[in-house]
Amino acid sequence: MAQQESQEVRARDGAAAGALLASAIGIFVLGLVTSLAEVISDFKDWLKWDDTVGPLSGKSSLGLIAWAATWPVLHLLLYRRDRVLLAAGVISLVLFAAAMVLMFPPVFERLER
Amino acid sequence: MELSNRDAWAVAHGLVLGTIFLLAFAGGLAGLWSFAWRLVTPEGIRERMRRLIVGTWGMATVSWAAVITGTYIVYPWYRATPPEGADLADYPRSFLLADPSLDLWHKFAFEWKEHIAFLAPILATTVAVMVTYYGPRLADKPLVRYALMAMFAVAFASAGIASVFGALVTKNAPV
Repeated sequence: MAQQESQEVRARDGAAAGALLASAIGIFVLGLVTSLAEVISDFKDWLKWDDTVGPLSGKSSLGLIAWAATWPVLHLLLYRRDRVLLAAGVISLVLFAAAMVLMFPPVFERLER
Repeated sequence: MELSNRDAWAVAHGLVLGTIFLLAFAGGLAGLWSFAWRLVTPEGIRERMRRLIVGTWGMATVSWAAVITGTYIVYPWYRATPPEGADLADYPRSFLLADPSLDLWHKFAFEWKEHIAFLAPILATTVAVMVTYYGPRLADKPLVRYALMAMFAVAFASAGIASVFGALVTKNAPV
């Protein structure tokens, strides 16, 4: 009985919704810190987590941390739910589009101080 | 003919790992697209599932290897600050920035490449985990498969942009 319920839960689309949202959040954070680094020079300096790599080390790590940290949380929140993938897809698309703008060099270089 | 240490890493990062990822994409996408009960027998679903799991995890691994070698091995050589009076040919970023006819290769091409490349491992890993999580149930979930295919396609596009710009920048200023 419990096994059958577990099988049914695993067939729901909530887990995919959580995974999609988490990746969109990670990518959005990468875009956001890329632009923020150009606006706030102290922040750019702080992002030099590795001296040889420079700010890219902090930017990429923050994006990856945001992705890895939000994924389990969103999974726990959503994996029992079904028919949430479409809504997650729309939210993810907005986050992704914003990230693409924030990560586009002509945009973030215009913000540089 | 000689391959320096830097050449070898640049080749491993871009030509070997980048090319494997881009070539494997078509197979992964076709595998997800055709993973439906109406197209495949139960025996075929089991066989394709194994292939899909191995293929997606392989792609995720390769994308991580490409991004890590690129960021922590090749990129430091690219962005190194030249000492006073040094030959800029040994310092690709400074070489490009010093020439107004070449500076966009860094300001646009490399700046975009170095950030967008990180989409590939994030998305490829997400696809691999979801393929493993859903297993054969994916055959009943077209919307989940479409979402995974979309993520795969974006991973491919980001890796493609990174690879093409990486190759073009390297052509103008070799590491």
